[in-house]
Amino acid sequence: MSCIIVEDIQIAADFLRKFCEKSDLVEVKGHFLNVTDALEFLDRERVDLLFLDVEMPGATGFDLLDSLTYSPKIILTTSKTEYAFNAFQYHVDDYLKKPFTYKRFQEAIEKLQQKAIAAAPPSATQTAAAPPPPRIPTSSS
Amino acid sequence: MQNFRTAFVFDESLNASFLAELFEGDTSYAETVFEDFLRDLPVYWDRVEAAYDSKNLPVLGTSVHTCKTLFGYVGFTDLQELCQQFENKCSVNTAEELRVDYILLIQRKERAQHIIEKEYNRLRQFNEANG
Repeated sequence: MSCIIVEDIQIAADFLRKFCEKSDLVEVKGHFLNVTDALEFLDRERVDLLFLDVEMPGATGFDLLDSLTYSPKIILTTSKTEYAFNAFQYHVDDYLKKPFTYKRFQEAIEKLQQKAIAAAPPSATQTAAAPPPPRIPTSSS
Repeated sequence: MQNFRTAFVFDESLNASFLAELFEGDTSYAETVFEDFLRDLPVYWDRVEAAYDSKNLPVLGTSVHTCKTLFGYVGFTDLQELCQQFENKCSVNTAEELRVDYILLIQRKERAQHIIEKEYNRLRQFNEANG
């Protein structure tokens, strides 16, 4: 899946990029230091997933969510636990408290993958006609 | 005879178990992160000082918030907690009421910076010796 990183702290963004590369599951299309630049990019190119910091210069991560014109997956990254309720209200997919390890990052990505599998329509083989039920022998008189 | 590479042992004031999980033995990357910390902290701390001097408590809070994240990524989880407490106080206290906490924060920040400088140099030497 494709993603962008919206994060004003370079060390935090570098860790995320490194984790994405290590996972081989997430391709980083860009890193943005503020909401304005991120929204400009998303106007041109949509990605599957946003790694989104909350407190940034200018606008917050929640301001970005209010401005989105589509519904990508969202993983909030913040060092404050106080935003958990806001995360719930915005139906974000996961919440990573900085600093987080690769293991925690992996858990978040696996959760997204499982959600995607659960939401996927059933395959053609699964919808094929079920075999007839076995005949239950009746007692003879 | 097998040649076991000696593991790098972080300073005891750092959260060594967290750093072990974060870096997964990649001391080259640890060196990079510590170098980035030493480069970025002064820039972010200037904003803390400017905000405190101008008694701009909302900006002071967000500036300390940024530094808090940096401290976390180099293993100062206790200092990260201290920053969080200070950040919370910025929304309820006056600058004068924050003075003692601010002085403590400066002292802890300078100590942290000194430790990371030392650790960065040790990491460089370790990586050169084991590279």
